[in-house]
Amino acid sequence: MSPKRILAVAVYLSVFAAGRGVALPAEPAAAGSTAPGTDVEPAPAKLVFTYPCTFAYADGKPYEARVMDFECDYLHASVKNAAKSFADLPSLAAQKAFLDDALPRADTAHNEYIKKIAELIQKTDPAKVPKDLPSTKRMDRIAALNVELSTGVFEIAKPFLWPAREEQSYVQKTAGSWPASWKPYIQPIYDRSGQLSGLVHDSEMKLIDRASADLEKKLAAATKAAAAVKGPGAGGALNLMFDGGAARDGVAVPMPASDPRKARPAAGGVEISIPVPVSDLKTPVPPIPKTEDARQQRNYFSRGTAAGLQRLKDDAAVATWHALGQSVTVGDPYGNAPLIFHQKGPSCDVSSQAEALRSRGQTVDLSKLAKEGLEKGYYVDYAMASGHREGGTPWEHVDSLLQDHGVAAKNVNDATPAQLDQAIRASGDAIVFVRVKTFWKDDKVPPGASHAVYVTGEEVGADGKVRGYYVNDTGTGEAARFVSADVFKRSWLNVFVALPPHK
Amino acid sequence: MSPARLRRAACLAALAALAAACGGADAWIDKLQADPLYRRAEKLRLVAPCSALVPMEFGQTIPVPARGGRRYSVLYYPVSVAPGKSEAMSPVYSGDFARGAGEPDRCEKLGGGPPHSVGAPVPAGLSQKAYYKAAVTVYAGLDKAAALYGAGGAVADADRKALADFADAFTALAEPGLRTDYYRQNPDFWEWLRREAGRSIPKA
Repeated sequence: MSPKRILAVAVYLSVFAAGRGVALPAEPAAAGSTAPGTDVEPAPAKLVFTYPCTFAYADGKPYEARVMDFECDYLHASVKNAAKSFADLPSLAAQKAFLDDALPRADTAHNEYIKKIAELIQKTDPAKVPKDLPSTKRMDRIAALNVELSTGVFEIAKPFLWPAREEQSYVQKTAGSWPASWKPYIQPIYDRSGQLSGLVHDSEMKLIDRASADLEKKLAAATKAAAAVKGPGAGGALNLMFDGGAARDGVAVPMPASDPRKARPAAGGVEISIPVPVSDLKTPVPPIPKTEDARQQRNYFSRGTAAGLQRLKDDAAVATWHALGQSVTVGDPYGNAPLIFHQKGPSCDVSSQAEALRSRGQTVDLSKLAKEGLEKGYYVDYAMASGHREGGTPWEHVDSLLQDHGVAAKNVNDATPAQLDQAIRASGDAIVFVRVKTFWKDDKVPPGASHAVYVTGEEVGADGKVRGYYVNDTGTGEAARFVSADVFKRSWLNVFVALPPHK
Repeated sequence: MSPARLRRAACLAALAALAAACGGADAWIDKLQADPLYRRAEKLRLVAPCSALVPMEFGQTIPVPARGGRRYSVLYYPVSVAPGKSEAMSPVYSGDFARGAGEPDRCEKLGGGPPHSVGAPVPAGLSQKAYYKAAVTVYAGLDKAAALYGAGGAVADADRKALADFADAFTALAEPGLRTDYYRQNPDFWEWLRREAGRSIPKA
């Protein structure tokens, strides 16, 4: 399963399961709001409404009528300052009259909710997507159904949702679980989401398999050709095979005396010597991974099908360059791929710093690191209407956590590509800030927002020019993404955090 | 410059214009990023005093000429970004910088309550190419608009057309949920623009 594809659903479920839209099996509404015997006993104290849901008398006695959790949620969501407003009603009679009026409305909303959920489950049935569509189009349509499911469910549950900032929800106060009685309503959503995610995942794996097989076939043919054609013509034959002859052989990749690969050999990277005699060409390990774990780390399709296909193409191009001896990888992008995770809050810079620390052997807990950053005033965050938090780190503090953890990092402003190249050659990594709109090629993102990503290497061509960079992007959960020099140039803010060499 | 060089320069300029007109978003992105005012605004949060205050990840509004037309002001707002979707909140910081050199930058935290959601930061349906194309128009017209606004005199007919194009592009581009914030930054400028160009961003 591709976890990023079901992120929206997961976010919804975390919010939904957090008590925003409690949906219990339909039962009769509060069985009478007048307690038996109240007319013969002394007038009871007024009722007190506390959340999660209890209605009790002010003297501690429980309220005789049962009020369902979803009814409480409805009251909490539909009445401003519900608990206080309820307490402010002038008498017990007024409170009971209020409940007599409000609870049937909650029941109606609940019935409507159940009906709409069933409709949504039906609407998002993947069987409705034509099977004869091209695989990428079919994949997009199924992924879109999953988005429709997550947003639709959220919309349907609105009468039972309240602003996330108000207070802890029912489930947060009950150790993250929800009552078993919710299961009939939650489970079909989970099932449908799992089904859609599974289909998308299978399609993604097929696309990766196909790209991987194509590349291997090409590389195997190239090796065979190299063995058959000895001498000066070999390079030309290979170039023709890969790119119609545009490439040139006989490369000598200029590297500084302190070749970072010597200090820290690439794990899983392509092994080539410099310069590369064509007769020594070996079939390199393809950068398109075979294992499920490695593919999960790469997360090719996190930004959609088109972006995923472009990434596969880029990885194949890099393999081709390596096979032709046209470029070398500086740094350890594949070795650092397991450091990737998908950030949940406004912590791209904190996340990038965490990766740099972990790459240097430090064990750091992200939430503790984020808390430390907040407490020290290095970064700020705010609760969003959707429930999660957003914020960020001012430029002056983008390296502060690294420094506090003993890593002599330094932020560099107005940097040139040559300075960044030098820094990556020195340590194999860096943290850069990019314009996320161009970096992700995403219409929906505003141009002013920038984003920190952990650079884990670069690809240096035979002419010494940087052909692209490798990044772990915690904003999308993509590891070892090869970003061409062109895309990088349009995205990079010319600022970065230089990191010291690994010990 | 020799006639041959002039011809060559003209050809190159025509090619560049053609590339921008016919190509994808990249040509417009390159053009925008070459704009000195765009670069200046983008750098604001990277130098003191803003560099100690404004988070890198916040969204930044388009500069608005401040009263008198000698400075530009921008707003910074928290923004949630995820592939394919984003959500802006109400601004938390403001910053301003001089049109000319030599005057210091300023940034400050805005008063008021906690930020609230203002919806999507990019107008619906605006493609990458359309966005950057409009942004090029906005930044190209911004300094002229600030200069005319600062001068305060009568505006020539030719300039009115340029101001109208600027106003249209600005409105097409501005974060929909922040239009009133843009207005509040300098109502005097927006009303001047309405008088001179016949259009402006809405008051509320």
